[in-house]
Amino acid sequence: MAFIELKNVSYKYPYTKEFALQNLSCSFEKGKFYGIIGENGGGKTTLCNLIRGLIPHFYLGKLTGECLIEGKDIRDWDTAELSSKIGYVFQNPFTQISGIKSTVFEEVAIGLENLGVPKDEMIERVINVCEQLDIGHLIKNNPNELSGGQRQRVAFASIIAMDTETLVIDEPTSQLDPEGTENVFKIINTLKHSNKTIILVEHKIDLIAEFCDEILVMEDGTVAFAGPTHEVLTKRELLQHEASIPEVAKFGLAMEDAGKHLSSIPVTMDEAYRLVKERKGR
Amino acid sequence: MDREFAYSYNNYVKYGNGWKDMNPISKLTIAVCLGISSCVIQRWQFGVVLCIIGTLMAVYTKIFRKYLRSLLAIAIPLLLLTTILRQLQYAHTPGFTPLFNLLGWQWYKEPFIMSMNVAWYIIGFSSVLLNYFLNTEMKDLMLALENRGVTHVASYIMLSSMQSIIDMKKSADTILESQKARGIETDGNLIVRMKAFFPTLGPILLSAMSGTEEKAIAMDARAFSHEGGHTYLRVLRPVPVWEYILDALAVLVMIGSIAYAVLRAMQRI
Ligand SMILES: Nc1ncnc2c1ncn2[C@@H]1O[C@H](COP(=O)(O)OP(=O)(O)O)[C@@H](O)[C@H]1O
Ligand SMILES: [Mg+2]
Repeated sequence: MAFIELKNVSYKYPYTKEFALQNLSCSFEKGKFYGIIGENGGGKTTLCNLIRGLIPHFYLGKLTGECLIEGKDIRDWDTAELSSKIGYVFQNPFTQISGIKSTVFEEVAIGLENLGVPKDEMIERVINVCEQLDIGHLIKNNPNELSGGQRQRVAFASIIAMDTETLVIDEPTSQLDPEGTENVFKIINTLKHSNKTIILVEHKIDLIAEFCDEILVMEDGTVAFAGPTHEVLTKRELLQHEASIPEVAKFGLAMEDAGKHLSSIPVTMDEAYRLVKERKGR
Repeated sequence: MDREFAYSYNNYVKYGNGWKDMNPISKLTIAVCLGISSCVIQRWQFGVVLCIIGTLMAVYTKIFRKYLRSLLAIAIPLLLLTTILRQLQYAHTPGFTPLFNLLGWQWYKEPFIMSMNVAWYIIGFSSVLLNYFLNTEMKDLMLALENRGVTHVASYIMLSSMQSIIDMKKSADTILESQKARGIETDGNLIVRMKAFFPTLGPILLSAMSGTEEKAIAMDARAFSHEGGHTYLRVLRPVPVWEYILDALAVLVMIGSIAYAVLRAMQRI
């Protein structure tokens, strides 16, 4: 059985007319890495809110259909219990700083304090996460005075420190420069190898192509395409949709159109390099 | 990374001066008891002694400048106002001892002492409380209260409200700066400043309010409502016996002052 299972889910935020999710069905399995892409306003964040139980426990509004986490309906879950099971890094870094701590080190430790982690272990975990996320030099700083990119990394660190089995990460790199982005993806990669279930919303399609096992393309509140990364990102139909596909895949498709088939459509740089080389050798 | 800093969290919270390192609740007990004593005794001698002790403490704890600025802001208007009002009030009451003559204005001793009593009891009280608040981090006080069973929700509300005030001040400054850049006058007399300030209130309050919902969700993501055991990264030193003794002494001083005030009142009747 899938770890998270959604069937015909529709949802409308309170006081709005439009459905944010419409007749959406999808499922997530334990230990896999999912990428969610799609245009702005397509419902990606709303899907994250639902998986984490903020819908319907925090955002009221109208929810229909079935949403099961480990076989139990989301409406029956206790949010406190979900918070120690599913970590959630939000899109907006500015509201993720608690405002009650005076150093970054303390800020990152909050979740562990709330979970009742013993102090020795807490300190070690915070040190590790800060090193991983490259915010070691910030540990003495006041979290309320950080830049957007720094806040984003601190917020990310705070959630990673909690070491939940599942992570929902909503556009973690929106405030970061290329170097910061690469760094975050390095961490995501190590998380992937730690057997966590990861659901990542991200616009940088090349990075998604490199890391994710499966991809969901969201559009108008529903899943337009879903499946293994390679299968989804090489779909011709995707070219017509607003969702972007990797440049190398566009290249592969264009080669096909020109009658110069590669043996398959590449989705990452490495793959493209290998395929082109192979074609030359033919 | 500064590992020494990271591992310093293994130790108890420490600032390195005896008064500041006292448990916030022990400190509060002393400050409040002495403050109340000053209010019930209402003798300038007591106020002056408190103020001298408070000032020495302020020097010792290195908060003297802030302390002095606040204390003078209270003391100077207070001293001027009470002395002048009392002299005016009793200007034509017979039987008072003449003190001196200020350019034809006769001052008397008894109203002067009355005014000193009032002014100094307030100054003494302020001196003690300033020493408390300038030497106590709100987060430490909340931590001490949490150790005594206050819920971390109360502590969160208190501390985050204080941070919102700082944030609101920051956004007010930003808005005023940009108004200035657009050529709207923001400096000058009170009316000019008011005119510049009031239109900013709307956006400031709106931005403060719109953040609260997301903040609540963000705290939820940090397992804020998780039940069963809460641990702390910052831990206050266990309260040593001498702090309890000092507290007991402060309570005794307060009881003594109240007794003194009651006896004095009874004698008058
Ligand atoms: N808190 C909210 N209240 C009301 N409507 C919302 C809220 N958040 C998102 N929406 C609406 O839901 C739709 C989907 O938005 P969202 O899930 O944020 O999309 P995405 O993350 O893909 O950009 C949009 O039409 C948006 O306006
Ligand atoms: Mg979004």
